[in-house]
Amino acid sequence: MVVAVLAAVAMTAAIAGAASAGTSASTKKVVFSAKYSGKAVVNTTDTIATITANGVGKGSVIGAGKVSGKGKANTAVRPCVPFTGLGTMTGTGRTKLTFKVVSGTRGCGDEAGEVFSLSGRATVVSATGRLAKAKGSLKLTGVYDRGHGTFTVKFTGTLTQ
Amino acid sequence: MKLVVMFAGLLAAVALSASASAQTPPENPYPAKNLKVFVAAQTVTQEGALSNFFIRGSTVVFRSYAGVAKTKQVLTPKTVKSFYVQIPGQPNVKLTYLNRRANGRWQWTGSWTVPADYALGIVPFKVFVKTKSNRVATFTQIPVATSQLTITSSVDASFLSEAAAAARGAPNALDVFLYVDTVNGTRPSGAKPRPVGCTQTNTFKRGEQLVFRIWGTEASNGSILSTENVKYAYVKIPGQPFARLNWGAHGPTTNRVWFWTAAWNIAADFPLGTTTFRIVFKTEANKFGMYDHVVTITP
Repeated sequence: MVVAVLAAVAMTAAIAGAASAGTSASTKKVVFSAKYSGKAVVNTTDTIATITANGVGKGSVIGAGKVSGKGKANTAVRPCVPFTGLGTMTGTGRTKLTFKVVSGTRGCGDEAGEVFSLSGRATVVSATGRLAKAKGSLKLTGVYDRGHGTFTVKFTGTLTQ
Repeated sequence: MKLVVMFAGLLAAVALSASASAQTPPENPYPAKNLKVFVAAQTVTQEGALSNFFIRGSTVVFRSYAGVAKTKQVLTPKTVKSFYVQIPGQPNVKLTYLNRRANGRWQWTGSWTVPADYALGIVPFKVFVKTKSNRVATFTQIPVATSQLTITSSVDASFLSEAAAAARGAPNALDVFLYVDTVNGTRPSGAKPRPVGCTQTNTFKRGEQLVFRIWGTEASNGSILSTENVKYAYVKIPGQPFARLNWGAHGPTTNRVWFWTAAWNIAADFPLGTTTFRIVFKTEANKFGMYDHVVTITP
C-alpha cells in the first residue's frame, strides 16, 4: 500500500515536471525592430511638457502601421530632458502593441535646444495579433526636431511570447 | 473602384511618411556611420597640453592612433605603409611611432613649427593612414570652428599646463576604438567664461565647465558608436558621481554632426593637480571601451 502511494506521488511529480518543462519550452523569443516617423506636438506649462506623437512606419513581425503616444517631460532638467508616457504601435493582421515609456528615457538637446536625441526603453504592456501575449522591454532611440515638430523613433529588442 | 481607393490610401500613407521623414534631420554621426579603419588625432603643445590655438613660430605636435575593424588591431609600424598629416600650403608631416610603454595610445607623433608668415585662422589639417594591406583612412577635425586648429596672434598660457600622459601603455588590440578630447564649456558655474568657448584643452580652473567630446567605433564591424549599439556610456570622475555621456547633435545648424558629450562643472574645492578621468562604453554586443583622459586642474 505504501509502495502504491509512493509510486503515485512519484508519478504526479513526474507529470508536474513534464508540464512545467512544456510551458517553458513553448515560450519563444521574438526579435523585434520597428521604425516610425511623424509629428509630435509638445505643449509646455512651467517646466512640464505634455507630448502627443503620431507617426507611420513599419517593423518586423508587426508590419506596416502607425505609432501614437502621449507623455510628459520635465523640461527643468537640461540638456537631457526626461520623459515617460504610454503609446501603441499598430500593424497588420490586427497586431497591436501597447507600451510604456519608462523612467530613464530622455531627450538630449543640442546647444540650441532644437534637435533632441531620444534614448531609453519601452516595456510592453499588452499585445495582440501576431504579437499576442508578447512581453518584454524594447530599446527606444530616435530624433525629435522641435523646430519642425517632427520625430523618428526606432524600437529594437527581443520579446518573449 | 476598390482598387482606386486602395491606391489613394497607399499614396497618402507614402506621402505622409515621406513628408515627416524629410523634415526630421537625420542622425549624422561624426565622422561617418561606419569606419573600416579608425584613425584619431589630437594637437598638443610640446609639453603635452591639449590645445588647438597656436601662435606663429610655435610648435604643433600632432599625435594619433589608428586601428582596423574586424581584426581590432591597433596599427604599428609593422602594419602601416604611411601615416602623415596634410597641412594646406605646407609639406606633409610624417608621423613616427614612439613605442613608449607609458604613453597611452597616442603612439604616432609628428611636429610642425608654424611659419612666421603662415596665415592666421583655422588650419583644416587632415591625417592620412594607409595600411600594408592598402586600407586607407582619413581624420578630419570635428566641424566646431572654435575647437579646430587655429593660428592666432596670442595664446593664454595659463591654460597650457604641462599634462601628464595616461599611465597605460599602448594596447595591441581594442574592442572599441575611442577618440576623446575635452573643451571648455561656455557656461561655467564658478569661474569667468573664457574669451572663446569650446576650445580644446586639458587644463581647467576650478569652477570651469569641462566638456568631454567622444566618438568611436565598435571594432568588430566598424560601426560608429551611437545609442543604437551602446548599452551605456559614462565618465568616471574621481570622488564624484559618474557623468553619463549623451549622444546628440552639435555644431552649426548647416553642418550638425553627432557625437557623445558630457559636461561637468568643476567644484571649487576639487583637488588641484592632474586627475585621470576614465571613459567607459559598453556596447550591445557586451564589449567594453575604456579610455583614460588626464586633465590638470588649476586654482
